[in-house]
Amino acid sequence: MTAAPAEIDGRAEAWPAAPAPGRPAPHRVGEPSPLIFHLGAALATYTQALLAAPRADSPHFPWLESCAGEAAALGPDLDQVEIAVEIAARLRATIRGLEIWQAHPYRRAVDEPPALWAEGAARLLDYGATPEARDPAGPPVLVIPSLINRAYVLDLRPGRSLLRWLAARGARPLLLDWGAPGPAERAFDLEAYGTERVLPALEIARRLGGGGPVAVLGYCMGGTLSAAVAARRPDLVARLVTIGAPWHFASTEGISGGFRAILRAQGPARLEAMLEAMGQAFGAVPVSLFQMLFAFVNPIQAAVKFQRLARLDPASVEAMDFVALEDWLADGVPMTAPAARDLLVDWQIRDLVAAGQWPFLGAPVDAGAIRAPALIVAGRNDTIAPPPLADPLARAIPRARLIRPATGHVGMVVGSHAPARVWRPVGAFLAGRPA
Amino acid sequence: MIEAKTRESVEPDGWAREARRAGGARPCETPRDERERASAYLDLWERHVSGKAIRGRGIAAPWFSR
Repeated sequence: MTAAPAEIDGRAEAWPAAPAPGRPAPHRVGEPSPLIFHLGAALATYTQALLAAPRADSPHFPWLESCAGEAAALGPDLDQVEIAVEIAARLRATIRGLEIWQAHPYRRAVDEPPALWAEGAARLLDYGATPEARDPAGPPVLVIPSLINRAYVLDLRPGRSLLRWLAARGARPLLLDWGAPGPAERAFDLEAYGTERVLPALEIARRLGGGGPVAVLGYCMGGTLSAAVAARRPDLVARLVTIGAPWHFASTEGISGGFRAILRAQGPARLEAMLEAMGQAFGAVPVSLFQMLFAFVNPIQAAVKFQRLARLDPASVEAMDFVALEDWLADGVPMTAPAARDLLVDWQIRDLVAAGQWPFLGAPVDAGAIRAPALIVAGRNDTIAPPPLADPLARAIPRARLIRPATGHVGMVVGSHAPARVWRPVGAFLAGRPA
Repeated sequence: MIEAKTRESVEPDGWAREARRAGGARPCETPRDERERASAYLDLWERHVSGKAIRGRGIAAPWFSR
């Protein structure tokens, strides 16, 4: 019998003992990348907390406005020894959470629907053919995911599947699963993804729907691409839904915005050269670059979330959800260098999308040209496409409807509140009903 | 895939054993309210760092900038 860390330092209330995790599960892939950054950043910020403690009640301390009142209420003379011991407990809980994730027996076991079409690495998966589908010949909805992470976040596991939920309500979601770029896509920029992958998939969706325009739903950068398709080819799109889609990158808020500002000041040439070199060295831009950029968004987030896993019963649904999502996060795909250049330079640094200067499907994208009814879902707690980046799309599209659920970027599609706050209004909108 | 080896995963009671060997007290004999204040402070710190990282200014420890 081993003593859990909680018993060692007397913090049993805060960090209840969890069963000692076993060896890493053989099927587990990847890691919370970049792991060394996550652990180092947690250690650094907690150490800073220790150093700052003696002045935590100072009126000059730059607390976040929403924290200042609680900081003052803590009173003076915080005990730094106690804080250090608590920090040690939290860091151990982070490691323990990592070990629990690694050893967890959960493994995604979802029957993939049949592919209606495949080209290169991409496939068009028919969720009308799943057991959950109410109407296999229901109105098609072309679903466009992000190019950075795998498409299956939209069909993560039973009960956490936006696509099966929509299918169970009569729609026929057709997921454009990009796959990992192979030889056929190596030179693809976003324009090529548009002409060689999106348009053919849209054509199939239209054929299945009787030949007219069809609904398009996009998530994350797939939402931006969906809006661009609706703008450039309004004749093909009947309804548009975007979830967590960034549009206007001018914001310099936060660490991500700070990096954008620095790169903007330097000019795009340096970043372009770096992406090109990565493409030459690795064949594509490694997913670790994007994982690093995501990690910068909130340097302490990974440590805190693994502490949460350490507190959960590993057999609970919550722990299973956590592991499923973490597996997905660790299972990213590289991006072709030309597409990464479009995303990071033309979108993020040059901010061409919102300016109406980003060329797609042969000409610059003007969201004002979108004629389809549009629903823009922008999570209030989204840190990947935060409100300053996502909301402007709703303002740019004539008569678009904006909903701002109190959820985060990934929470909008797989969170416990997703069905009520996001899926239901999306389903109603696609069916032409008031949300 | 990683396999993180920590002191606890190798020697789960290492810290407590060392403390006993040294004849010292367990490291938690301070009053409960001091512990709770430390914990509340770190909860607050985590929220503060997250909020400033997302909405603050600059890239270098924005949680210290005004």
